[in-house]
Amino acid sequence: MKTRPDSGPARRGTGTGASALRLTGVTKRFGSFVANDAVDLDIAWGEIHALLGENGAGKTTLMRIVTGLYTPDEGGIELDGEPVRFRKPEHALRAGIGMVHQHFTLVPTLTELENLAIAPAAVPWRNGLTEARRRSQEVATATGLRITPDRLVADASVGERQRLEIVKLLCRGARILIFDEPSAALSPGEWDELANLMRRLAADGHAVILISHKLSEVFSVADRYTVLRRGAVSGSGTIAEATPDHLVTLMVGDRMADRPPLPAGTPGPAVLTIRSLDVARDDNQPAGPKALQGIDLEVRRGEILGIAGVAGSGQSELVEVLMGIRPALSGAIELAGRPFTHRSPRRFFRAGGAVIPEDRHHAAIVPGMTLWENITLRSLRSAPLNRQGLLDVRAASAEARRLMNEFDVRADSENLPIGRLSGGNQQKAVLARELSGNPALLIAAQPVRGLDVRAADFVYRSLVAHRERGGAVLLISMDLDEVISMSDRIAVLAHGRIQGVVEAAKATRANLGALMTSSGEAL
Amino acid sequence: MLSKDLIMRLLVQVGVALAALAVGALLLVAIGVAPPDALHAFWSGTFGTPTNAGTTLTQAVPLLLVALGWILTTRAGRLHVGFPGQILAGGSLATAVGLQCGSLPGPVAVVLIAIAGIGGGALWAGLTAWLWASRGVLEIVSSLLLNLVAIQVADWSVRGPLQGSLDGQPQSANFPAAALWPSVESIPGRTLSYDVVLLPVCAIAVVLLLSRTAFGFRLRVAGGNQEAARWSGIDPVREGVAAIVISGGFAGLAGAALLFAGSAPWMSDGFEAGVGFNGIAVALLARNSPVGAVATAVVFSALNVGGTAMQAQLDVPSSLASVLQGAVIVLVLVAAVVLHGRTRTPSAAKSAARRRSGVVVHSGARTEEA
Repeated sequence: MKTRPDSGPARRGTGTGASALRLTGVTKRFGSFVANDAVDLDIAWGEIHALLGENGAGKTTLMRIVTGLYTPDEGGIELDGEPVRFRKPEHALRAGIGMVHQHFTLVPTLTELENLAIAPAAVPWRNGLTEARRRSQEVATATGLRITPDRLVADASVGERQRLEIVKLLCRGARILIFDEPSAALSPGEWDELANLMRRLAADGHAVILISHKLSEVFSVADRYTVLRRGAVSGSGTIAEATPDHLVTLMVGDRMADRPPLPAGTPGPAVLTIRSLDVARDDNQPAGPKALQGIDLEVRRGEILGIAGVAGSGQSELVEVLMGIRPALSGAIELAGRPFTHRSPRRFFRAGGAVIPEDRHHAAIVPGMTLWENITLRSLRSAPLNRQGLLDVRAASAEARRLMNEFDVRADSENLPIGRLSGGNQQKAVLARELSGNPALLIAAQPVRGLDVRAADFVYRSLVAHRERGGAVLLISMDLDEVISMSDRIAVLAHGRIQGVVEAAKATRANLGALMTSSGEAL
Repeated sequence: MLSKDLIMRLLVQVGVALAALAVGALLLVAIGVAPPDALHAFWSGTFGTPTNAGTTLTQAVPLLLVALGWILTTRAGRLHVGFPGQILAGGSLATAVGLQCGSLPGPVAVVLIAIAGIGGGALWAGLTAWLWASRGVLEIVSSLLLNLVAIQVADWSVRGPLQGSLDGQPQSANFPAAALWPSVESIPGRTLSYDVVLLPVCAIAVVLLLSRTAFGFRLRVAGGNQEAARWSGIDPVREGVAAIVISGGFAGLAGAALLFAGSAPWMSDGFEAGVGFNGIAVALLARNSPVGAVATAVVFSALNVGGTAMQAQLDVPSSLASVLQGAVIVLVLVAAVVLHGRTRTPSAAKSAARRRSGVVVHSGARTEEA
């Protein structure tokens, strides 16, 4: 540890300080996937630096490199002008780099002070509480950040927990603080407080990195910005000279999708109708914040309706409510022409629904069971494969073989455990299962996530074929290109509200991106 | 690939048997008995005569029934250890019914007693299932504690409502002859009860239940991936409850078999005699295979019966059998760890690494989505 927070070098405002952290040509690959491509990043003491980019643009990977979770394949990191190499998160923390995570790393059953005292101690029997109390008082005098030492963290509000998280980092000597989407859990008032705090930390000589989707926040606190797109830096500069339009273009690019647009369809009557649907973020707190608010949607026969939006805007809640896994607060849903009020997964499937869940391993397959059992996971439980409780195993595996052939699932045998197959083949097996019943409505949540190009293309073609047969598809995706090229209409979901429904022919990355990001103020 | 696994498994099982034998030989030498003599006594006591073979096979039945219950619950992804309590509950109810069956024709009495046993065990397991499903009490905890309750209830019932002997012993009256389960008459001592047909029948029934019925399929899906079960319209809680209750039924039937196909035609407070937990060991030794459990149940039963024989002939303490059983259980656990490590190392480690890198590829998106 070279310097302590109180002896940090430059301590002047807005971006004019000496370089705190400099990344040059940082590249990180995972297999053939390049998560970070020769990224240059320069953070100065005393500035708030915004790191912008879409999902999967490489922001998190980059910050994991900075905090020592990953080591870069190429490129170097300089701290205070000296090259450093972090092999473990402790190294980065010791060097003064700390991250305020989206999900706090606090123990709710301990008091705030006890949480501060959780640290690898030099001697195991030493009581860290006195030291923690002293450090927290130092931090309080230096930054004005006060904690309530003897309160249980469980009793603290989200904003207070975030403050404790920051104090924790400061107590450990963090001089560079990274905020990962800090406003995600905050109310507007709490955000204002946090913004003030970030400014104060910067004025105090700390360097602050703010990862955010919300341009309004970036413009309200940041001094400089760096935008990542597809793992590479697409632009950087000072906020004072930037416009929101410019940043959106840097984030999403302005090229059009390379996939040819869908041929115009002939949508029929509505298969799924949602009217003023409200859903709580936490099932157990109906009065708490809402995950979805006033949702009105309609998916028609022979139509693919895309839901665009950054992750966490309420997509998973929407799917879970439609499936009957999560309760709704209010609103009405109609499925295949009938009110769908008493919802459960069984009734959803019986009413003609099908679903490709977002999290394949978690929700879609039983890895230890065979391929044929997974493909017939639902059909095996009803006639004709199930006769009065007895299974026709031979017919079921024949059916599975037929579907494997039709959906190009590649495996030596239908008797292999599905867990041994590649992700693409697993997903095709799920697709085979869900489309085999010729459902009225298919919910496809991120259906090509993690798939290679060929498998992804197969999934796309299957969805379009289903649409040609008169099926309805609700496509949920975080990838704007995917939504634009795959949908007939696109509903933009942000902060739990539908911000607008755009015909795919008129949709561009820029106008959807603007709907997605700029509407943060509405909340 | 598969056959290699199988060979490996068999080798480990043979290794367990040899190691158990070695432990046994060491103990015998330590107490001054020549192992060959002991072996001879053990063999003649278990399979050497038709009478003893009958005892061995008959005593294997309750062990197997408990093992099958364990196998069903683990397939459904649940884990309970309430078999001793369920045996006691099933046995008590079977006794209550059996004592009233004196005037009924034999087959009717046998069926009634079996049903009472199954019902008693299932009801007792139902408490565990209900606590888990509606109150979220871990089934392993509640079943363990309910064992203690069942022991007290059984103690009380043979001193109270079921007490029947004239001299005030804590045991029931002798069962009426019509209620006793029939045994093979040509074997001296009539030690071989006809309930040994349950060995193959129940094992095959469980295999078919799991592989050929919609119910078994739902059970395995719920046990294989709860969340996927939920997302495909299967209620994992319902399946878990069903599995626990059925396993209680198996244990209750074991309780009835212990009493009505056993050596003493009455119920005393200690009739469970460790079968509940040994049945779990039987299933573990068979690596949760219903068919394999038939063999391991016979092995465990032989250890019990043979231990008694060695005590009679050579004055070897019968607790040696318990020590051997303990050694087998420990060795099986060790073997399970060894096997797990082995089957994992080549293929699974690679796929785990692949999975990890897969997670990494999407982790950028995933964390930001959260």
